[in-house]
Amino acid sequence: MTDASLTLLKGTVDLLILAALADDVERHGYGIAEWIGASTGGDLLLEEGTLYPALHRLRRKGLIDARWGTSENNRRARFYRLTDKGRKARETGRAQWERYARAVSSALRPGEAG
Amino acid sequence: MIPPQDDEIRAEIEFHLAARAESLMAEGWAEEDAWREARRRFGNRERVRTDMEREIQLGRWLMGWRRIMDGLAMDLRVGLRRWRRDPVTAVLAVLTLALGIGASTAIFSLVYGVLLRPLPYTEPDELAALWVDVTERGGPDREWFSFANLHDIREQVSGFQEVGVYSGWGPVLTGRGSPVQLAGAAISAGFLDEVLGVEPARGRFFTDAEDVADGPAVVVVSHPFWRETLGAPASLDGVDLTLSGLTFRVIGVLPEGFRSPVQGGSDVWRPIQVDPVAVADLRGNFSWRAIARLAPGVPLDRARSELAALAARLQVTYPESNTGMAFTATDLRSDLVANARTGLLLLLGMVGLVLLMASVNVANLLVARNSRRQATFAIRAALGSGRGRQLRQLFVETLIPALAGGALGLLLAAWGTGILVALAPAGTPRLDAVETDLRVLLAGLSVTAAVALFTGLLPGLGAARTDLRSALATQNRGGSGSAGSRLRQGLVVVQVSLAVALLTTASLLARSLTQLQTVDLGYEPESVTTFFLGLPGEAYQDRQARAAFLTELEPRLAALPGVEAAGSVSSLPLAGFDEDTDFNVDGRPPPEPGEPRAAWVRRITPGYTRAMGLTLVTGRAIDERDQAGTPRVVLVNETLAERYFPGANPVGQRLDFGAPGNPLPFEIVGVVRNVRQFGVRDDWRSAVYLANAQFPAFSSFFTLKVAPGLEPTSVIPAARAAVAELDPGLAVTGVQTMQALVDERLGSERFLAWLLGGFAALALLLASIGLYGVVNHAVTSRLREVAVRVAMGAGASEIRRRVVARSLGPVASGLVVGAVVAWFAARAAESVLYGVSPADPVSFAVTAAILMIVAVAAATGPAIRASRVPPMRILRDE
Repeated sequence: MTDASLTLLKGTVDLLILAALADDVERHGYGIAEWIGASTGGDLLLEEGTLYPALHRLRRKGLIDARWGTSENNRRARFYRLTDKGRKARETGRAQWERYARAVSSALRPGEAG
Repeated sequence: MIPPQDDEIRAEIEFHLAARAESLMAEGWAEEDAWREARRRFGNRERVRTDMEREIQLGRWLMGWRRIMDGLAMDLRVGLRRWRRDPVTAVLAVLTLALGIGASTAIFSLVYGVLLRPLPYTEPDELAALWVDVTERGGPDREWFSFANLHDIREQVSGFQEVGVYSGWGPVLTGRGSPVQLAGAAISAGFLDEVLGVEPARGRFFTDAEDVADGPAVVVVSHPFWRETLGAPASLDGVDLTLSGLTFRVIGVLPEGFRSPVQGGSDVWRPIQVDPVAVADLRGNFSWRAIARLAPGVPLDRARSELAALAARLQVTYPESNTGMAFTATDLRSDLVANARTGLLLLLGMVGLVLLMASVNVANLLVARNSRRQATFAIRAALGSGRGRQLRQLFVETLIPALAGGALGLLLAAWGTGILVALAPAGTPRLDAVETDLRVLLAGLSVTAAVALFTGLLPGLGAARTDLRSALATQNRGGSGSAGSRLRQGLVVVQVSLAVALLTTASLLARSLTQLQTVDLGYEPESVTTFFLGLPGEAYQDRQARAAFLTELEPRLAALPGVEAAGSVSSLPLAGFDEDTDFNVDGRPPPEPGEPRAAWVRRITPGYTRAMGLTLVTGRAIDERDQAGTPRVVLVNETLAERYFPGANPVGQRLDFGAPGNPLPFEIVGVVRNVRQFGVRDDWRSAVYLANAQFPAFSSFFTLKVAPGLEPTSVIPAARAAVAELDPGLAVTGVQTMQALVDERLGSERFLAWLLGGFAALALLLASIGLYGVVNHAVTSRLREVAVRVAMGAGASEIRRRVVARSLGPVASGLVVGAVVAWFAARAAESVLYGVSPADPVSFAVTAAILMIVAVAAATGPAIRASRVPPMRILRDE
């Protein structure tokens, strides 16, 4: 698994967190880690701890809100939710990422690059 | 106690690990393995923890910062709104501050540029100007050196790393269009690089090998000369100049913007090329000047004591030439600005007073404004608005006019500096170094900040101290004796006394200006035009040729249409220099050491006394009979006649200008009135006039007296033609009317008097604004008292008289304090006064009278308002 996994590019974590919280879903840090694992098919190698500083950075920037609540199995957990600003940031982030990925992959496709 | 954020971070991490471990156990992991795997997937907990802490901390700071900025923005909004409700005070405060800051920054720029800015040379504090002081023998205190004395200083004073020697050189440039008179200097080899520390922009400077007798003819030129006259050649190879008939090779160019410490600037520089052995015995002439660089770490005083010791040794070794001769060293910057110093420092002091007045005025306006709002403050405080909060609000509120005034003031300063430089008298040294530069700007800004603090906190503290009950009580009673009103009366006393000081100094200067304008110059500048003519040493080495040239030229000039008389003199009055020499009265024992024996020497042609309008007191003038072969004659001035021949007629007596054992007697043929040679406030010194035909000079100033009603310089083209007819290689330069020279000398006096007059007017305006404010406020707060008086039958004129009289109390105190301040200011100004005593009663009386009139005028408006008070309405309102 480790060999096939990809190390995350810088800044991607922020975008993945915003994606995990899309559609007004409220998740705690563990839930976000689980969502990322599930929706990338386990291809991304994520040191789960790195999510937390990123969460607080996004919070400082006003992209997400946080509140303490109770988890499914009755533990105290901090839940995160997108703000309006965060929703906009997710849209622009995704558009940018797609342009970037398209550009890089078209350049890397053998035989087609100029 | 652990900060809550620490708990939160731990809880969040704990939750994550537990959730992961549980999920793994659900997949069938053993508990211990599940926890280990959870921790592994989580990564470095410590790093995560510190990263989170940093993010949270940063978030808090940003939030705090935002809160402060929001608070400030709100304070600003509130402040602006409050000022909009009181526009008169706002405008007065802004204008007062702008004028005060603008004037002080502009004057500071001027003073900084002229007096304080370091000279543009390497380690300028190590540079010193050297002078010969011959006051002990009745000569000047800043005389030039003989080469032999200077050579001994170079050899024997170890406190100097290098002594740069220089002398004036005025060659005529030919071969590049019409002849041009250049300003040049002859300098010793190390003068530019080792003394001044300047590097050549192109080429090189002189080497020691070049600076020897009969050395190569080489010159270094200034950057503007290289660019404009030489056409900015990239290479100096083969660039030659014909200077006074000789060919010089250009070897170097000075850097752009180089400022010559030699007064008058220099286009070309050549090495001095003097053999010290050949001139070792010539100690009686004064043709060299020197600027020295102190050896590293040597204080100027040590070099001075070395100079004094050397001068004493030389007096013993060469008693004939060196008796009564001292050597002095002054740091170069002070030396260059010596004459402008007192006037500028006086201005700076006055501007400080004006700035102080402006601050007092603003404080006064704000105290008045805040005393009207005392009840509001008290109520707000009682409702729980914190003292700090109110102080901050007040501070921001006062910062608004302070910053606006500061910004406007800086604009005024930039504009004012330009005007000052344009108006400054032409002779002001280092005027080109004046600019509103960054440091001056910072100085202006810090003044603004200080004024803001002063004005913002003074009323703020007063207001914040108020307690509710007394504030509400005084509000109702009218607050006549409140602390605020006493403070404001005190401020008025301060303002009036500052205004008295400024006004007195200004009127002293105005009176001394009138004295100077009517001073007897000893000649008649009207209708006289002058020009300078240098005879190049190369072509006119022969004294007969020099004498013959002037003898030939003078009648031709006198015959020009419109010219009534023409003559020449070797050193023109007010041209800035003179020659001096030692003499002895023939038949008397040689003067004792300390006995004056020096006199100024001017060599004149026969037409000079008439052209300049010198007044002959007795005897005859020098005329055409006095030729090279006839007995030597001399004309003396009144000072010399009175000093050496008191009560006797000196005509027929003889003066000896020779060295001991080698007499050179001249017969006195006449006595002329004293002439102001250096300035309109010149002291009288002994002076003699010799016949140019008998002792021909190398350079002369021609003076042409033109017919009345004719523009004096209109005869110059014809004069130029007359000169060119005799020698086309000569350049006529320095064309100026005598009246212009006199005006230029009076210019600096006038400049100072006008500026101070302007400041005095500003001070008067500020003082009357302050006084008006106080009286007006007093009337407003005593309306009830006035109303009662009116109701009791007091007439309008009685009310008016009462209000005015009461306002004159602080004015009288201000006059007394101000007289004392003015006395000190006048003492400081004493050296720039002329013909007026610093304790001049007229100036003090005029000042007092003007201030009383202004005070009464300022109080009249409010007084009239008080006398029209409708008593019943006021009393009913309460």
